Amino acid sequence: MSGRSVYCRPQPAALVLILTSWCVLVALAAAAGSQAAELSGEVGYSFHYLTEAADNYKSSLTGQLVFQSSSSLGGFYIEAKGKFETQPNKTEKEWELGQAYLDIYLENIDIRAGNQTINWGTADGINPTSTINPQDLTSLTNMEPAWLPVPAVRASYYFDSGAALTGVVARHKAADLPANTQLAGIQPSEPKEAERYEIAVRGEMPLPGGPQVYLTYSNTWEDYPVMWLQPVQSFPYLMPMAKYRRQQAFGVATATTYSSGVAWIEAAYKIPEKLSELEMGTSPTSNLPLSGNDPYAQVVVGADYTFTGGLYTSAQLFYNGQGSLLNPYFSAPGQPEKAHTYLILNSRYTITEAPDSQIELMGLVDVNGKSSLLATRYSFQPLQNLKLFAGYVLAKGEQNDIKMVRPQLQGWLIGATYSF
Amino acid sequence: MKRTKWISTRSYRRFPALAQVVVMSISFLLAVTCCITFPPLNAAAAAAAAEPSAQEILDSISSSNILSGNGQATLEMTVVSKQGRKKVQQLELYRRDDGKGNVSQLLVFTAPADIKGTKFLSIGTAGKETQMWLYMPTLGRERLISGSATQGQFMGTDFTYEEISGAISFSAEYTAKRLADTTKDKLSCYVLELTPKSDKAKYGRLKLVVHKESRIPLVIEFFNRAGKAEKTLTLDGLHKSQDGIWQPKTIILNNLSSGSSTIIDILQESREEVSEEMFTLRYLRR
Repeated sequence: MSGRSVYCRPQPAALVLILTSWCVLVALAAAAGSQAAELSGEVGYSFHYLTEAADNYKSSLTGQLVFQSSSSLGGFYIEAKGKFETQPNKTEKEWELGQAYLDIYLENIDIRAGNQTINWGTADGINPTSTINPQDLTSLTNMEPAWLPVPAVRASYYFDSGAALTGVVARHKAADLPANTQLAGIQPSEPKEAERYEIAVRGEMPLPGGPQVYLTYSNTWEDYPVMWLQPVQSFPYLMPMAKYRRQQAFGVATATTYSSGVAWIEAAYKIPEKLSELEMGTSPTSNLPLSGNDPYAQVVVGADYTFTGGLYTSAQLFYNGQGSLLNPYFSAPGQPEKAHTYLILNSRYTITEAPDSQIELMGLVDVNGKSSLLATRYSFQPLQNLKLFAGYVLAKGEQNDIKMVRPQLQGWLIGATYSF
Repeated sequence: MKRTKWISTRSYRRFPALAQVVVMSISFLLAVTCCITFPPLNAAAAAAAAEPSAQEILDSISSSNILSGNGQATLEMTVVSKQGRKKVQQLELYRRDDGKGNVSQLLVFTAPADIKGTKFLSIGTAGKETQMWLYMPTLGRERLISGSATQGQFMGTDFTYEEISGAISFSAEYTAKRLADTTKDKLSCYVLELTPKSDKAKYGRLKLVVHKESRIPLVIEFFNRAGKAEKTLTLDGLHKSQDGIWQPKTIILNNLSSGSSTIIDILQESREEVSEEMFTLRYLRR
């Protein structure tokens, strides 16, 4: 049994900024009569029995501490996370800084600086217009989408009309590479430090009748590196290569009410940097790309409905011009993926006779490929701060992307969380 | 003899009654806020006021929905399950009313830790559907609540989003009939039975016990279309504050279907006018 310990250091610049600003803020907050700083947190344990994996269980002990305060002038939020995870053949200990930022509120401007998540869009769970923070889509099976915080400065200017303009400068942070892809074992070349910046802007305005419309533009790094197979002289003759690249994205999103609920649409047109490495030639020495090199669109249309008795449900159609949502790479080298359309279902029901009990369901169904990812969870709160849960995840279908996630997801889950 | 006088919006603003704001916010009838009593003027007026029609009583409740106040309160909301398990939530309530039917309300959860920072904003514009947004810190953005979702359970309590936002207007949706007067906690009350004007109304029948002097509904029984009792809202400990404002100590909503109940205690209140900018998406995102 091997052991590994990981300490994820916060970015020094971000830490200095936070600590310096924190001192300033504490003084300002004291003058403004802010709320006292509060400490809260959560400890949790989960046991995941993986029915399709060689390492057939995963036992995780997690902890989270949050220290925060706010006033009319601003506030701060610092989150530390820890995880101790054991599997049959390995043990991992991990500490990391979660969101840690400082807020400053001026007359018409709100500024947030530090490690943060910036979640844009109107869709439920997957947002094409949200391009700053990497998102692991397999986290959808946890019923709470999770984004990786990145160091960033965000400033929002609010107009009296209700419109707002937000600008973001962020530092690229690579997403955890998806398991079981063709990428396994490859170290992609990362961008130089000076080139890691990302920018994004969003304008929002209320339309007559109430709905907000959001227009976005971003110039960021893609979450996952692109891949190609490069011919070489010696065995294995084709060497898998990977590197990160930039992309621009233009987006629009809005949500509006209809007679029975809320309907939303969110779309983005993404223009990735064109790389010569991904151009497929006709000669035997040409590369075989595993990633696309062309612009593509992502569109989500959805609506929700709450049935009598309290059953909440939402349905979304997600068109992904790039191919699979779960695996960003071609199934076969040199053969671009066709666009995929998904039906995403979310449902939540609090049992009337037992209001401490809740049932949740998430479904990601690939309409073209006839594969699906289904997750269900039952949770029960015997005490105010204690939540017990049990769930099952099913990855159904024979497509490559489902085969890829099945070992890490399919199986039973039980656990508990205690918040304080 | 005493005479009850309904003061004008402008006058009322000088006496914003937050406890009553709480009542009206939490008890569906945001309404009851503007009931401020004054010393007796003359017996004839008192006699006229003593026997109003059912519709006049209902209008006086709902019209006070328009004449409302501003303020802030700290509330403790306890949800008691059928099995007797308790879940306690603390929240801040902010409310603002411009006196023209534009009523904004913000609820900010401060405890327990797992829901701390969750905010619910409702903005009611005269003659339009109330807009509602729920901000959840884990999601990092606001979510529009509308249509059937407004009938969903609010944060695990027995209230729906619509009820907690105070977006229901009984006067607009129901016709009132007077039943025999009664007393509750030694307070003299009118009794009204409301029946729906159209199929759009949520309930099949309502029974209101309305305190005569303050026009605050002390008991509201909600019956579904099949005639079965669904919920009962009770205001306990109605008393006059030092400022002469009627206010309850506790608000209890019993959900007869699930056997659970939600109890709201007013821990602290302030009658200072709340800044308009608190009722914006900007503030919601902070």
